Amino acid sequence: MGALRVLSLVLVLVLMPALAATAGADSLTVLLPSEFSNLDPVEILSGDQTMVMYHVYCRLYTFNDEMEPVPDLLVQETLSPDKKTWTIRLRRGATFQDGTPVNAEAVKYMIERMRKKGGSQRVLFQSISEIRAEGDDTIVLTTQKPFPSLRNSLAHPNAGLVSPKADAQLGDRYGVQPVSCGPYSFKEWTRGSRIILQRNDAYYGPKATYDQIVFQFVPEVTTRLFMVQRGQADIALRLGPAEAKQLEGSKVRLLRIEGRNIFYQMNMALAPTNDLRVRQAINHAVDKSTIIQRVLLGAGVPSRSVLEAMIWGHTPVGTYKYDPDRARQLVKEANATGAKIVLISPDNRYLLDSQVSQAVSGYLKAAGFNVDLRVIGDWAGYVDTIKKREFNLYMLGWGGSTGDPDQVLQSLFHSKRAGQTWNLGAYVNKEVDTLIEAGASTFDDAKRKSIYADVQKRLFDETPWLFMYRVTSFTAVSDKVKEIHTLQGPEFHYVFPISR
Amino acid sequence: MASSTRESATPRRPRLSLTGRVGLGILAALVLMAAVGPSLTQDPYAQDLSQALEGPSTIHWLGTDQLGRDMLARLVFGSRLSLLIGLGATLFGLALGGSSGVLSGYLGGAIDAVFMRIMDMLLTFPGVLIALMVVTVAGTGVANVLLAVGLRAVPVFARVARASTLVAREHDSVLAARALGASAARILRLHIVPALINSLLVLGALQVATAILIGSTLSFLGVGVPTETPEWGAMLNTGRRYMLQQGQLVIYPGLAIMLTILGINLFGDGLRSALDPRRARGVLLE
Repeated sequence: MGALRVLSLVLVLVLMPALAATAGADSLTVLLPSEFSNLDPVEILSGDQTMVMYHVYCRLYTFNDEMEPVPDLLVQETLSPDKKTWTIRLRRGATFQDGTPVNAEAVKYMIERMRKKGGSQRVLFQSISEIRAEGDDTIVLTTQKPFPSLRNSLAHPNAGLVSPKADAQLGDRYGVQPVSCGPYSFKEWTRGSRIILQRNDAYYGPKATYDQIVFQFVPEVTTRLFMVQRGQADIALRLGPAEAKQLEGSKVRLLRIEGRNIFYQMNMALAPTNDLRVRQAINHAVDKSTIIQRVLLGAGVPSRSVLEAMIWGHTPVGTYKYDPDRARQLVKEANATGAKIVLISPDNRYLLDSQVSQAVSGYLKAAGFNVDLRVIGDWAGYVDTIKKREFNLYMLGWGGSTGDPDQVLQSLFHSKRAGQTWNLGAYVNKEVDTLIEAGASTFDDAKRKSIYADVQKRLFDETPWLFMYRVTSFTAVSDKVKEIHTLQGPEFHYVFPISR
Repeated sequence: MASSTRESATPRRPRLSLTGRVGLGILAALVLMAAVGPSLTQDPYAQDLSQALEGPSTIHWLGTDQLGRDMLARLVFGSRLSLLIGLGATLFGLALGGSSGVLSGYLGGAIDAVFMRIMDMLLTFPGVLIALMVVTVAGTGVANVLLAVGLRAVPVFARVARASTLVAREHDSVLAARALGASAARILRLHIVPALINSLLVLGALQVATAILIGSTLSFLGVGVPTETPEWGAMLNTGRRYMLQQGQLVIYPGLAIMLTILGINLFGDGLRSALDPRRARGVLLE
């Protein structure tokens, strides 16, 4: 008996440090549904990637809880009278996580790097015509035309500063070993398993709460739910309504993210969706409310514009009423009865996406179309397939990562990007182009708002989309987490206080 | 008891055990359901979102799934697919694997050595993995699932066929036929293959179960049948997301798979016992 007791005691003493090392009181565990290939800010890969980057990278501006850009690394901003030259003074003493100084040269480096290597996020800085570093702490940016969204661009999670020394040293490997100046440093990445961040004690802002943050990849939603319920994790992202129900009444809090706009982009260059009547028919044929109620179990809000509520300048234009008779009539008028429609859907990327697509396919069949539904399970394969442009509809979600309409409109509707991501449906309208550019270059808020209202109305009338809904997702947060911020637009959270 | 050691001059007819007959009954019901069922049930593709996730009712005897489709209809149509894949893949494996195994065993020598090494190597892989590799290369869809599951079965049949051939090759009747100058084809046809039938039959019956299971697994993983197709494994996969709302979405397809496998295994075991040569003469040589 005595020996057994001693043995148990020894066992406990031996195991305790092991247990502490994996999840001590000062460590936070966050469950992410999907992994990504790198943490390089030149391309947006997913909201999960953005969340991790947000804790590692620092930027000139950051977003407050209302998604407004506020100064972060900068202490002073002066705009020239013609509104085209921005003189920005940086705070002194900030360093990268490898000890090198954060100075004007580093800001210039970041912008030029983005313009050279950036993918779709190049739109953030495309209006900058000149970058000049004056001394260590002043950077001067000149834009071709007045560009009020520059603050939003500089606050964007992808505008994180990159340590020039680390980038030069690591080259291609920089993406998997990022070095910036945010509140947490990158420590290690075990592929398929987790990323560990460590508190950056040299951070210029308020001291971060946790010693380390462990981002664990758990694709199965029920597993994420169970892990949070059992205390094995502190934060679990993207739980659905069924899982959220399971947490009612428990100590675990639920945060709602009124998330991205989910829609089907239609191909304006392929029959029958090149016909306005067909596009209208498609919008009337699908019962979005019932899909939200029955398939999403209530986790959605019908979409009323291409720019949804989380984006500045949002104007609720309207919805297409569910009217199957009108839909069938329009299809007949357009001579499209029996026409083949190719609908491409992802699986497991957005909440219940393939289920929604099946429901949509059912409604379109009822309207008289011959629907070919293709569901593609992996996101990379999905993107490759839709880039081939052999679709009539494909599903996409778009959030408000800058909070500003310009990024959305430029990426999705400007003719410059017709046929490429993300205007794969090749929507081309020169008047709308002009309006988008006008909205991007005026500082007059009232004027901008009315320009964007006009754009939204035109886009609603031309229906380049099958409008669907904004999807609600839930984040479970254990009671251990005292401070957590939510950025509704970009749909993620961060757990440190912003520096001002 | 005396009956177990009683000798008889004439071989007794093989008798299927009780459990074997239960298995046969289950299979008969399954075949009946697959043959006749689809013409009696509702359309398994017909969606009605307003009726989604409902429990059993007079219209939908087993309730509806997340898109309002009739569960009973989907189960019945699913049986057709499962039988198709199970039987089709097994016949494919039997034909290809059995014939190559027999040839390899009969011809012997280097051909046999190389062939069996390849089969051995394939047998070290879990069956699901081989099937997965095939659909990764060939793509998804019912035809490719059949191919994948069938290819997986080939080494299994090859091995057994070869082993039995090696034994049968040494029978007196074969040696005599050879001495009389019979061609290899004649020997194979008249002496070797008949000796293999029993063991291959039993193996085939049991392999149908494995084939159904692997086919369902592929669909469960999302790389099997096309999205809207009613298939038990696929139904399990999508049912998972709604399990907390309506358990029937996973219970029914799960039960269907379970009962089918059970029936096949019971029947296969019964068949094996009945065809056991040691029993055929009424004597248990044990």
